Amino acid sequence: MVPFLAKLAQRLGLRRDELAPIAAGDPVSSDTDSGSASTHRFVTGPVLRALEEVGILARLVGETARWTFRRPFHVPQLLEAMRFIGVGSIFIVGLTGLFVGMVFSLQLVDGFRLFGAENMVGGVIGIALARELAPVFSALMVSARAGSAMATQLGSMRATSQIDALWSMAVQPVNFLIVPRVVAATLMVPLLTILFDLVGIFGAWLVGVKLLGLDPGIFVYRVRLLTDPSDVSQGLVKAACFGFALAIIACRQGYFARGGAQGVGEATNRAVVQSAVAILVLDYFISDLVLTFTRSSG
Amino acid sequence: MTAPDETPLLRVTALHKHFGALHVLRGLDLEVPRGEVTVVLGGSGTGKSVLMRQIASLDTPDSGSITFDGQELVGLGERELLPFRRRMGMVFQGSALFDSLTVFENVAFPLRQHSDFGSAAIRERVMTLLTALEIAHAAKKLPSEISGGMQKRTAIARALALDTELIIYDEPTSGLDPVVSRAVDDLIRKTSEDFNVTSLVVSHDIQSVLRIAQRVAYLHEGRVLFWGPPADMLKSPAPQLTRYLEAAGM
Ligand SMILES: Nc1ncnc2c1ncn2[C@@H]1O[C@H](COP(=O)(O)OP(=O)(O)OP(=O)(O)O)[C@@H](O)[C@H]1O
Ligand SMILES: [Mg+2]
Repeated sequence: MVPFLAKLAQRLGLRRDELAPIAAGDPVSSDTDSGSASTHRFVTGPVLRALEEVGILARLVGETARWTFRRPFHVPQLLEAMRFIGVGSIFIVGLTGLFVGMVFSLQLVDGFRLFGAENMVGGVIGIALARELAPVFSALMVSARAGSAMATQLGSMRATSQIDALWSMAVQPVNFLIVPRVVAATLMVPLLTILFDLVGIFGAWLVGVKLLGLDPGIFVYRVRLLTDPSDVSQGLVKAACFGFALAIIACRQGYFARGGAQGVGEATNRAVVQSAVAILVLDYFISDLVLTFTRSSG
Repeated sequence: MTAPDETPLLRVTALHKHFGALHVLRGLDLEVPRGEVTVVLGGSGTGKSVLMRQIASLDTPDSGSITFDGQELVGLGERELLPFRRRMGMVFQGSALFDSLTVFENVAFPLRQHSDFGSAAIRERVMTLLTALEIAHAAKKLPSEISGGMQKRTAIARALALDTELIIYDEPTSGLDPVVSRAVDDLIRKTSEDFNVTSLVVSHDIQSVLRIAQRVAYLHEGRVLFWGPPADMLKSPAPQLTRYLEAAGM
């Protein structure tokens, strides 16, 4: 048990030289176990790997946070990342927003008609979009489009020693590569969520009012009555968290990618899968937190 | 006029590096004299690249000391290392150019990051370097659009941009054809003389060593087995070195 705990502490990065491997781009200690207990390792292996992953991410979050507020500030890098993540995702987020609003409206009108409540549709969609659909879908789309690209970019920079080259030119790579991407995603995903909200409501209005003949006045009235600014801000807080999470996961996968071109491909794949899971899991916990908070304060 | 500084620019003492159970550097000592070209020779997997990474502070050794211009590098924090990184340049085996930037922008990169030069001064400095290395005509091209030899020259220009005192080349000629290899060798020698930089070169190629080296270090099993002028290397009694030279056709 003691070697296990020692190993655990080591894997979690509770060592003095913890930052050196990050600097060298090799977060995972490469020591081979000389221990005899291979069955023991068979059991603890997956647990260690999961904890190791958490440890690496936590350290990268720490490094990123530290370098976000330290000179030099790479403003051109940040603007480029904002353009890539934000402007570059406008079309895809708008398109998905439109169709999510439309299909939601279609289904809800159909369902609510059963008990004559179809006039509530606008309000329900407004709440659903603001609180859940817009932040989650926007983040998933950004992750699929920009997160995967970030993982590939950083991964190929790692594979071709460009990250080492940055170090050798006295440019801190976390500061230069990761901070701009993480900050940009944290800022841009909420903005894209607002876009999703607006386009989504428009799609819902289009189908509900224009196609299915709901009363336009009541539709708009319900949206305004039921959808609170706090619903929107709740969604935006989530969106910022999702943006941060998807960027840090993509950067982690790319920055520490190993194994050449194939390794970069695998890293990209893991980045997308892990981001999607993280977004949905975070969504539950942030919702829980926000609901508890608003209930107790309201 | 002060007398030329006789202390070595770089001194490595008792350097150890493990990767798990693999003991790569085993108490390695090395001196790199100022203004000379020192070549590190050694079989594949003897830890030449590992040594270069420790010297360039891209990795931390387990123990031992590395001094640059008399100052200890081992144990320095990230920020304390920055000034030293500016004084060293590294030419990576694969050139490691930024593939989204043009040749010009690659060479301008360290200047934009670290100097207060205006864009005109940067332009002038970059073009001077590119002209000296005979790639000025390719300034606007992307790394993917130029040949391996031109990429190498761009990498050398980039490593020189910030008035570098030490350039580390990791196998600069591997994978290049004999003509280009020879051109790169001449370039290393010329760069060392023209820009008065100290060069540390990892090589596999005995011919090229004889052409460019003023000092040779032969690495074997994580230690320096021979250190001296290339002419003395042929007289060295060490059997491992003799075998290496024989295999290389000397
Ligand atoms: N990050 C690392 N993790 C584990 N082992 C490593 C690492 N880097 C290098 N090694 C090992 O250290 C040894 C020396 O590697 P190194 O790359 O320095 O060899 P080299 O002398 O440069 O060889 P070559 O001439 O083929 O380039 C090799 O056995 C290699 O497997
Ligand atoms: Mg090597």
